[in-house]
Amino acid sequence: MLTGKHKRNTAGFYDFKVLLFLPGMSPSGIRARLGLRHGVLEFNGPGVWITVLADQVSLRPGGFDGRQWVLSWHTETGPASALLKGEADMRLMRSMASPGLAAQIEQALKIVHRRKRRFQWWIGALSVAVLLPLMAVGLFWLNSERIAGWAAGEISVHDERRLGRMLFARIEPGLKLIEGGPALRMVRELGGRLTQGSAYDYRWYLADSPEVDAYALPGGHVVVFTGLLRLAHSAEEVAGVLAHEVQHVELRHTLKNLIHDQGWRAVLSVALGDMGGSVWADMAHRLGTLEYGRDQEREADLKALESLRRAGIAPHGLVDFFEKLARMEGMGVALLASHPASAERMRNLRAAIAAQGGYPAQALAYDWHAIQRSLRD
Amino acid sequence: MAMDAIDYDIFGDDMQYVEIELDPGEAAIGEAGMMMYMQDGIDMDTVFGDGSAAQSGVLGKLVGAGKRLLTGESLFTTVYLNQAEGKRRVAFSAPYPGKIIPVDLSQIGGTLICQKDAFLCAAKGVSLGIAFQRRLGAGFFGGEGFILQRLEGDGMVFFHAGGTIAEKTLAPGESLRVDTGCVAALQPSVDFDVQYVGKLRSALFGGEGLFFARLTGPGRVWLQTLPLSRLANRIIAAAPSAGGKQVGEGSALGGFGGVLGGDKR
Repeated sequence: MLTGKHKRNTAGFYDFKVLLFLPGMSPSGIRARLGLRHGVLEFNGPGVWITVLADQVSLRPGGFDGRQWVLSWHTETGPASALLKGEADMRLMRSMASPGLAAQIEQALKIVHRRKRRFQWWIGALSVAVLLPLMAVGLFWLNSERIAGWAAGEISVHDERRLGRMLFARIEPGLKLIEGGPALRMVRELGGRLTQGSAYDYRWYLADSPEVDAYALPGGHVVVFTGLLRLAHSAEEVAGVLAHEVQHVELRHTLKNLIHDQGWRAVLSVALGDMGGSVWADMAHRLGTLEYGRDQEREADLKALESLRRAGIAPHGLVDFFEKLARMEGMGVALLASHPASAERMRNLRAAIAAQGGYPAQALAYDWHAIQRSLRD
Repeated sequence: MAMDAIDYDIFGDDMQYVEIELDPGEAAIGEAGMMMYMQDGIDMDTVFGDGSAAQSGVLGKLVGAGKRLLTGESLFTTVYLNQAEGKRRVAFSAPYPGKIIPVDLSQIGGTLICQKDAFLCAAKGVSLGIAFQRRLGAGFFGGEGFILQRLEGDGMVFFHAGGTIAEKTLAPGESLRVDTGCVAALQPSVDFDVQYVGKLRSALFGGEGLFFARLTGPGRVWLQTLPLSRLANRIIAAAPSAGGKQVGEGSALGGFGGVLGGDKR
């Protein structure tokens, strides 16, 4: 407890630095040293030397912050006091003081400790009050994927279909839908083969646009752009892409991502049936920029391979088409933006096809040239 | 710690500046942004922390700087060192109407506690620190908040406060009840606490709020008549763009008086 600033004086006692306030002396206090011996306080400063009986002195914590130590006593000409520095000084003084003064010091230390605890308690309570909401937000943010998944699970297929209908109604005016022809027929037939036994009621649309893109809305609205068909070399490739998109619907990826994006607004509006327009407009807008996560892509790929196998369609078209896209990286291919075709994904796809083993698959009997011709018209 | 002894002059009435005379080799520290002018030969150097020798090492400097951030001071202090052969002068101006108060720390026991933002300039060697108000009542209702500024050393310091300054000396045990927010600076020996105004009627309608700040001696206190926040509130309340009401300034024409006076834009 003895620190460097306590020095033994010539008489062999410890000195304490104090600021001494005496009647008739500087009202701002004078610097002095306090010695303690045999129940007597001895103050020694420039031009001052006084002694006070320890029994006449009272001590309390005070000062601007309640943590300074103030000794006070009465002189013949008025009250006097001395300001001590620090708790270390007090403890040292307690060990040397007379029983009366030691008891006072003890009392004062207790008061200060009580105040300290109360102060810390308050600060603690304040920090908790500030931090709790922050932590809640942080937790929400960290678990947003899981929460979105849970929320998606709470939405019934019926509501999902309704959501899909509303979204499609928003998108439809911006699409130049092709109403017939061999290309649309092929998409419908392939889609029908791939979605046999599904709980969703699929609708297939072909939109006239040079963009290489296809997307699936929640509830089973699948839109394919003619640009994608033109880039494809065979019906198997188209089937691969459709199988993949269908899985995003089946696995509710689009729904989850939309909820993740739109947060509780979407959940609440679906749950409460509040079909305020802005949410849907936002969602429709976001559909174009949604990006599927790596896990979602892997999941959809694997399921797509399964569905291709069930439908008896050769699986290579899927990987061929996405590899073709990967080579076009940087050319602004819309499908690539939402379905990143990383080298890893391609490797996994090939490995999965190999693991699946061969199965009898008939070549799809579509007149590819006729289809391409119909698109060019 | 050797402090630089400095001579100074304070100019102005209610919007003051202080001119400090530096002997060759002497230096002063100033709050960043408060310098008004300086003569040739004074070298201005910005240091991290407060430029006192007490903080050595990178860590110590960082801690000091962190504390300054808490008190609302800038991270850097500027040291004005006289590199010339003769005496040179540097001046610091107060940021808002009020007074600049010179205090010789060696005369008051070496420590001065002042409200944050009050520091203006000082002799080099004075250390700037923070002092926490650890009394909850005083922190919440005393008008000065929980964070105060601690100026330590043996040299001259200059701080700044709003309005006119009343310097009071309190004998041991003598106390003074003060409107909250009016305490500009005090010696650490002065007990600072809050006191309920006492009567419900006064608390509600007295206009002084629920609490007084109660200052108990021994020691010196500096009270300001016009805390900046009060001035700011009055200005905002009177500013039409902030939703205040146009006051006719005694014109019989009321609001039209302003049109005639040409102060309406």
